[in-house]
Amino acid sequence: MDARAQRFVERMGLLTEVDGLPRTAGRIFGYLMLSPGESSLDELAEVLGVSKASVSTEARRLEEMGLLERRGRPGDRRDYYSIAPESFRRSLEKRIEALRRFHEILEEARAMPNASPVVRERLAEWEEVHEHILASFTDMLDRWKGRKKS
Amino acid sequence: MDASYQQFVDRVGMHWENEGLPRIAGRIFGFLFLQAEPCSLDELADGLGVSKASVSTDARRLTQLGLLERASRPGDRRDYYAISPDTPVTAMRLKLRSMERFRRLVHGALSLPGTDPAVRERLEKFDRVHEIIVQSTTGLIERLEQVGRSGLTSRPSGVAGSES
Repeated sequence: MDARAQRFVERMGLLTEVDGLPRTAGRIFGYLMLSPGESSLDELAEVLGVSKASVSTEARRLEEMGLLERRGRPGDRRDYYSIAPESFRRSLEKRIEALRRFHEILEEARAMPNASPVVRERLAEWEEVHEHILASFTDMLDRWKGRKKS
Repeated sequence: MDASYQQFVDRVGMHWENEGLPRIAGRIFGFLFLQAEPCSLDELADGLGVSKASVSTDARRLTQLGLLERASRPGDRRDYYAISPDTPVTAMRLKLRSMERFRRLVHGALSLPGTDPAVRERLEKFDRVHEIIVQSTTGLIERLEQVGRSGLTSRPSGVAGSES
């Protein structure tokens, strides 16, 4: 990796850390963003200078978030990772699913006995907030799909 | 805590864990969600049955993410934590800022020398995606600023589906 690519990878790591994800996750994502091909966990561990256990955990996490794709190769037992081809759509769909579930938790909490008026008001407000977030995310997904068609 | 409270705290803990946060962070959030008043770290540790060191780390993390607010009481040196009416907007503003930074970073990478065409195409795609995200999120924040101010009147239609 040249110095500028290295800097990009490090800054991506710091950025995901601000979002509450481990720095290694962002560094893996940043590195793969600049790679035309796919990388094994060994390669990722080596170029990023972290343990294989750590890249393995974080690569899995990114895969679950819909951002990475994992593939095998015939006659090779290792996993190879690359940026998922539809990473934006996939990750957004997963976020929407998660938001729906959270909205459900809030809705069910309305039936809770003995909640104070402050808590009831908060529940109602957060339900509404989540409806706005869901509407916004759904709109983003539609806009992205629409743009691709045109 | 009665059973339904406990269940709520656990479910919120699981939800945030799926979002990449430690479970204890999610449980702190769920616990505070059901409190009318701000809680001290001792109260949090006590209520959740975990060490004070652990709640201290994760309460700070949640505060950095904009999900909790720190509060204090006169004549009391301890830190108190709470979910405030501003929490959703604060959290979204922080998200927006990090997405803007992400976009700038990707934009900068477009000028990296000797970039593979496939990589360049990907970077351009991420750049466009983030343009949409930043625009939508800016609009979302404006709408969220109205929630709680104008009462519960401006709910978007066709999202929750369980209101009828």
